[in-house]
Amino acid sequence: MDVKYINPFLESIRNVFDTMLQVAFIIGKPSLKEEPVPRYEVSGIIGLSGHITGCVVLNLSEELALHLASALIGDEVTELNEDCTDAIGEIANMIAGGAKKDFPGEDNSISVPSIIIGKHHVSYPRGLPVISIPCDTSAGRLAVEVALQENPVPNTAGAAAENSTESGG
Amino acid sequence: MKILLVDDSRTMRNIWKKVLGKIDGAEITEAEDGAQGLAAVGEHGPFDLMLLDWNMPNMDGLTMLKKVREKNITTPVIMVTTEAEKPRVIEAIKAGANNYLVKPFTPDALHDKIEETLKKAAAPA
Repeated sequence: MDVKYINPFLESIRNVFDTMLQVAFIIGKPSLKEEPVPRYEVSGIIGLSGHITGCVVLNLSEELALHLASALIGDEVTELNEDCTDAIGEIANMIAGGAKKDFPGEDNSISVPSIIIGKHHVSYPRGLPVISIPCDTSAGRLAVEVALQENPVPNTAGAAAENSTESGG
Repeated sequence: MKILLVDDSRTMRNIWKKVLGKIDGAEITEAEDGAQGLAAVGEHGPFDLMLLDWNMPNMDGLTMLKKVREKNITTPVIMVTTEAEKPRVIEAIKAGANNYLVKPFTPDALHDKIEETLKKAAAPA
């Protein structure tokens, strides 16, 4: 995958953390993800369509999800409830949306976020490499995983996720 | 002052409400998508200000904005969205948005944008 798709995410992650989360963070070196199995139990998934298609996954632990949700909302969130999943979806939305503005083409769209909790795997678009961007925060590590491709003709793509544990489990 | 907030994210609506809580006499109505927002305009309007997200299920914020303007409703509208590309901003302004704020934003940026929008709306033409 071209670096032109990864650099916008680095900038967007920084922007979201600096502007709305105000949680200390260090972005690590992006690397190719070998297995499509998320490392942590919470995933916020955004599909992209248009000139650029694919998906973006914000993957993090329950503990960090609670911490970031609390930081975004401004009130302490202690349970992995609807408030928490909504906040994680919004963080994923802002990261993907912020990166999208620097992509080639003007017809790129993002989906509303889906949140998966528990042991799960993500069905990335077939044949696309998945680049994982690690980010160490003061409350743990997360990964932003990106699988994108440029299309000569716009169409719709995205990711489907399957979970083996119900939301909240 | 009656204000309509339309965003599918409850988190975002709560963030907006914290900022709007600093405005004296703010009376807030919430909607989760453009369709609900449009219904709220009919049932609880007229509003003095609307904040609209763009990407929402059922009906997006741009479609809602167009439908509101088709009804000749001139309530000031601020689009608050992750859609940051210049053509999108132009599209929203052409559709009748009075102002535009890209997520993520600081509370101060939202507050300033609201003040600026209301001031412009109140100014004589």
